Amino acid sequence: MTSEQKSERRSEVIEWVFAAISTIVVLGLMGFFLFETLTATSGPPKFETSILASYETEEGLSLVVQVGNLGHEPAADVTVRAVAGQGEPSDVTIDYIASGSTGQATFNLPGPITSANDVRLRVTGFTRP
Amino acid sequence: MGASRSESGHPHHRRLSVSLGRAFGGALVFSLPMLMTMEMWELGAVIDRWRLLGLMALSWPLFMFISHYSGFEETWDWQEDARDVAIAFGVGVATSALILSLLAIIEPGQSVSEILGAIGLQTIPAALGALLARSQFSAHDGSSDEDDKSESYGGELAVMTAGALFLNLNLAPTEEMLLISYRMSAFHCFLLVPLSMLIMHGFVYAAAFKGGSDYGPDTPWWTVFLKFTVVGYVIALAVSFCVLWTFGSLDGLSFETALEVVVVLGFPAAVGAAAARLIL
Repeated sequence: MTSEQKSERRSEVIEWVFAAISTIVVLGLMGFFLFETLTATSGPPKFETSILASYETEEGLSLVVQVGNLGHEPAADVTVRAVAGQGEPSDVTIDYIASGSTGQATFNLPGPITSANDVRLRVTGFTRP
Repeated sequence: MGASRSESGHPHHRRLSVSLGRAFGGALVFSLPMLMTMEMWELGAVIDRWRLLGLMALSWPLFMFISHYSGFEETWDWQEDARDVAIAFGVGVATSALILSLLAIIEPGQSVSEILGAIGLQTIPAALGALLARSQFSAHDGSSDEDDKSESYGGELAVMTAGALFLNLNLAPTEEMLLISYRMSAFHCFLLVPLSMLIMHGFVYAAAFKGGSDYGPDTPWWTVFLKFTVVGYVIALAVSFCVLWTFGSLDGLSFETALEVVVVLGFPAAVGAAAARLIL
């Protein structure tokens, strides 16, 4: 076998290795989507809010909030409301939160707020994407 | 005599200036759609700097590879390829800075970080355009060396990566990619995967029979399908994932949703990858 034939043979092997790995990836991808299709359950978006971080500012308190969508459908224009004590409510809208995914919103709440735990959080509405 | 010399100039200088002219032209053609897209301006300001740096660093070896097969100068070793990529990035920076300034997208009041972020992000498609300009604007001379280079398996994959990256950079920053994936179910994505490969195979099959190719009408279709279409599609998906992650579009998404967004962007990327084999 000449060196040129050896080189050709090696290239051929590399091409087939690439083809094999790629085929496994594509079949795995299609298998995953098929599994998701067969086991999918429907249900409206359900939200869970949690405070990720808070820090004091000159005007009051900044609050970083994470909103998770525990439902089986995505939601758009998710409006989150934060109310500190008897203060005015603050609203922040998150563009999209897919099923099983999270989004973040930051509130700048005015006034003297002793603790982030005094802030009440609620999702007031959303639309379908 | 003097007039005659100045008209013709030094052949090497003339060739270099023509090459640079083509590079600027290619940079403009490839980057203008992105230079005039609002999402790209915003991304320049908010994109994670480490990710942008990573994308630029990753672009370098990829562009070296592309330069070896489709650069704006005929190159024969990696040193020349490195030089060409450096010139392409230089042309990309200059083109991006010039057009963004001309369109009043970057202005003196903005922070240095925002201005550099915008220019840096736009430099990648501009540099890619500069590199590919030669094969886009110059007529192929049909030399056998060049044909051999472009028809090697590595060359084919490099060209497909370039095509996927180009369409990805155009579409990945848009909100529509996320919106489309949210509207689609897992079953839609299940159908989109073979459809993307089917369309891709049309291009690949047509391009496989170019003169001088190792693959002819006698080659079984599944050989071309497995070696080019399937591999090309996985490359398109990998490029889509890299670009989406760099732009922060996958942040906060569940595994399933992230995979759906990648498959959605993988559709145009696959078309771009396959079409590049015909065009470049």
